[in-house]
Amino acid sequence: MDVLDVVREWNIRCAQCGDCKAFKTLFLPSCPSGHRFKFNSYFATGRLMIGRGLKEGVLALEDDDVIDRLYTCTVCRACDENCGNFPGGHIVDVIEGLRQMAVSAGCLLPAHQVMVDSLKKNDNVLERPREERGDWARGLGLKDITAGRAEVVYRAGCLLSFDPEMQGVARDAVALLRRAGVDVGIEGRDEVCCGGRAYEIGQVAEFTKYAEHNVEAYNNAGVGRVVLSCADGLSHLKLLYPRLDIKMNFEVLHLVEYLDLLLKEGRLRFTGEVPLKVTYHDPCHLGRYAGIFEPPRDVLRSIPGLELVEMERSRQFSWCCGAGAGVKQAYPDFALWTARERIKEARETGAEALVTACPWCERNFKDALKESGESFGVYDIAELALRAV
Amino acid sequence: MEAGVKGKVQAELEKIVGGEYVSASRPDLYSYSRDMSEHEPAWPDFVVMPDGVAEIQGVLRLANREKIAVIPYTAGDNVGGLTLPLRGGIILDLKRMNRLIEFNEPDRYIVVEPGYNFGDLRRLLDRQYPHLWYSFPGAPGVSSLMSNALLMGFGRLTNVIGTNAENVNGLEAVLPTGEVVKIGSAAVTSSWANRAPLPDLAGLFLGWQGATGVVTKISVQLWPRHPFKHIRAVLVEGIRPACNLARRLAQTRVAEIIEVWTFEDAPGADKDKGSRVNEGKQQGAISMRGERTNATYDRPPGPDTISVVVTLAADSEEEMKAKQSLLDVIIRRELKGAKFRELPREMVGLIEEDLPVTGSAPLGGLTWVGSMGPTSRWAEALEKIYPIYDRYRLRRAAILAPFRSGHYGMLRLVVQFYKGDPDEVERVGKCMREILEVVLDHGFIPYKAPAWAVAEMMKRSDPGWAGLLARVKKMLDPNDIMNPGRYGDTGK
Repeated sequence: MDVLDVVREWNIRCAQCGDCKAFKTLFLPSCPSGHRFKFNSYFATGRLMIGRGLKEGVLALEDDDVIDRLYTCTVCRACDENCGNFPGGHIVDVIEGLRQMAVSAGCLLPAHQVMVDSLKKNDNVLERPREERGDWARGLGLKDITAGRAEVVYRAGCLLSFDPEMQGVARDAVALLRRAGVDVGIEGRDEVCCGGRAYEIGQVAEFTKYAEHNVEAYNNAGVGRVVLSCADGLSHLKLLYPRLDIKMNFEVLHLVEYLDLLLKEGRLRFTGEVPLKVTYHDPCHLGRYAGIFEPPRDVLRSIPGLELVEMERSRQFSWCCGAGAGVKQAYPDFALWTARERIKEARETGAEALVTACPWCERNFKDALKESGESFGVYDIAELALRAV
Repeated sequence: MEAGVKGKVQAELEKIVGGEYVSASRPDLYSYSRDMSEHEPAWPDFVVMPDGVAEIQGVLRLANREKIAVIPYTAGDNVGGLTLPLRGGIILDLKRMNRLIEFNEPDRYIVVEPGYNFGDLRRLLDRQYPHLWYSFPGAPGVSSLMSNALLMGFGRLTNVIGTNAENVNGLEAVLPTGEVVKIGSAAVTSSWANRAPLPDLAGLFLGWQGATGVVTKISVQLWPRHPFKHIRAVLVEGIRPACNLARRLAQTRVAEIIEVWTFEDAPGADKDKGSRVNEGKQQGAISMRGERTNATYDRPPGPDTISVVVTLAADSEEEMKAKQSLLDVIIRRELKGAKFRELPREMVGLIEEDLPVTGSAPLGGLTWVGSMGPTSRWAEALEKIYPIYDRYRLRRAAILAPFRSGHYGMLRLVVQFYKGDPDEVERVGKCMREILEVVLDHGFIPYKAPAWAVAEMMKRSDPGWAGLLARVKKMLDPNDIMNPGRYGDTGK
């Protein structure tokens, strides 16, 4: 069965009932693009119909707006969470399948072409020179796993490696691991993109190249665990890589899972007060994709003085930050609008700050605040955790 | 539509509602060309999203001048193909107009816009007014409260209040010629509390399927939400005893809602995902979920198991006990000599989650002949309808519910189908047409009737009634622009 046949099967099974448009039981909007742009084609059900139209030949990828509708989705999986018709969650698979078709047909958004060119030239999606990849760790004296062994490898990912405003998150993460006595190393300048963003925009060949490279590198280095601060990276390594059927001799953990484990084993202790009222934003790739909802909350609850309050849309019903799947690059205004919606919801809880566990979410929230001139705290969990040790 | 005219119309529409809210792009038009039913797709020329009465007036004046069809649209999940643009034109998507205009707690009504949905109301009642309730249907949370009322839809208080159209206090509408009218007490006073005792002009809009104008506000009644609730489900062998039990229960007014489900079990139906409601229905042999097996479904011999589901509500434990005792007495008396068993309590518990209902069409297709008529003829009609299902090798499925103590009731014949099989889609269409004949023969009138069913009814209708209907339509919609193919359509 080719991609279009799979797409057709699922498109036909969409009853157009509209369940994908709102979180069940909460009755609050779930789909950022649908809620922002309103036309049916911006909701999951409309995108599935577009797939059906392409299969039946009544629509073409070259038609005005078809590509736009396919790429304004952040693949946040809120639709999959709500749909009662598609067992197991296949809507986002269909949308990604349609994007693969678009790429095969040469229909690429200019902003995404820039990302792909950057990958080919620099092994990152941010157009930054490859040789700067390990600069975030300069002076930390971390082990280089390409030269020696380490029990755990910390994977910074593209954003934490190159974004000067975000690099502190990676430094905080390794500082926490070292405080817990973890034998941690990095790949430094040899680290490359996880390939996940390429997959999400339909560039399967690029994704496969990076997945094979990374698995081989970690297998060869003999590491037992790969730990990431990036929720996107976590879900790509943990959920996408196994689809390639390459044996992975290592475990993949998000930093919050690992911190939770270290706290519960008594290897890490929080003693310092962090007097702050915060709310936690579940990154889609950590929550809905990987099912990791409690560990970040347990870590936050372990911090003395910190008060955690919940937004109404939380856990599997979390509203997306708006940055995912190439949306931030191709539709920056829409990405910021989505983030502002979330910040508004965070403020309504009475929290002083929004805490998350993904650099893409944090970056987008900070950009939204910068753009609107508002002030509100945005933190990665690692930053608050480090204040407490 | 000719390209030059289309460009001119688009420019005018953009002037009225703003460029961001007008689309003529193919993926947008295509996504409004189909619905969950078996009906042929029909493409609009534009999708327009107005926000406010003035913008709707502007769009209708333009459409009336240019004689362009206008189809009011909210969620598009009506199961009757009612928002398919049969003659192209403008889909007027009203989801931006989703405001709650007034919540009147002392007089227990709300005034809302077309895009205000059941989820919005359920959320508001749960959080702020837990003592109040609405006659919620088994529909997705995103379905429009107004559309359900205008289409005379079903809700879960029907044994008390009838259809949700009977729950309407008044409305505001924009006529196809652009004038704004109010109906009910709001036409004379500042209150939206009642329709009576004015001449009842609500009938110019209720039941018309959007063929007479665009309703922009509606006032509907809220009802008490009783703190004590009890659901009991009895599985009865045979149509007649089940129908008799439901009719008898309706007359006593002991229950808020009595539903008779005649779904056959769907062995092996997907249980991985879906609401707990469906799970409960499934395990209780009253599932409406099926597999992709309709195409080859052969019904095993044996009697039908019919589920009679009764919801009791009370303000105190004593009242609930009394109602349960009465229910016991009626069940024992009415089912004397019949075979029946109780649905286990743990299954009944799963049915209690009224909203939202998800996953109700796992094959992608859902259609029905929904109808209302005399409950005394339920069993007789079903006995004629079941062989039709069998002949077309489709699963027998019906939902019955008495309205207003059983003075009339719903007879809804449902088919789930797989939209990927053209043969199956064709058989479903033929089956529905045969069922419609039986339904009409037994005194039932289709509601949310698709265009073909309206045409069939018009053939049978009293000429005086049909003439009056045409005159009313002509008076309100002189250029026949509103939702073509519905009641009063001249076919031009």
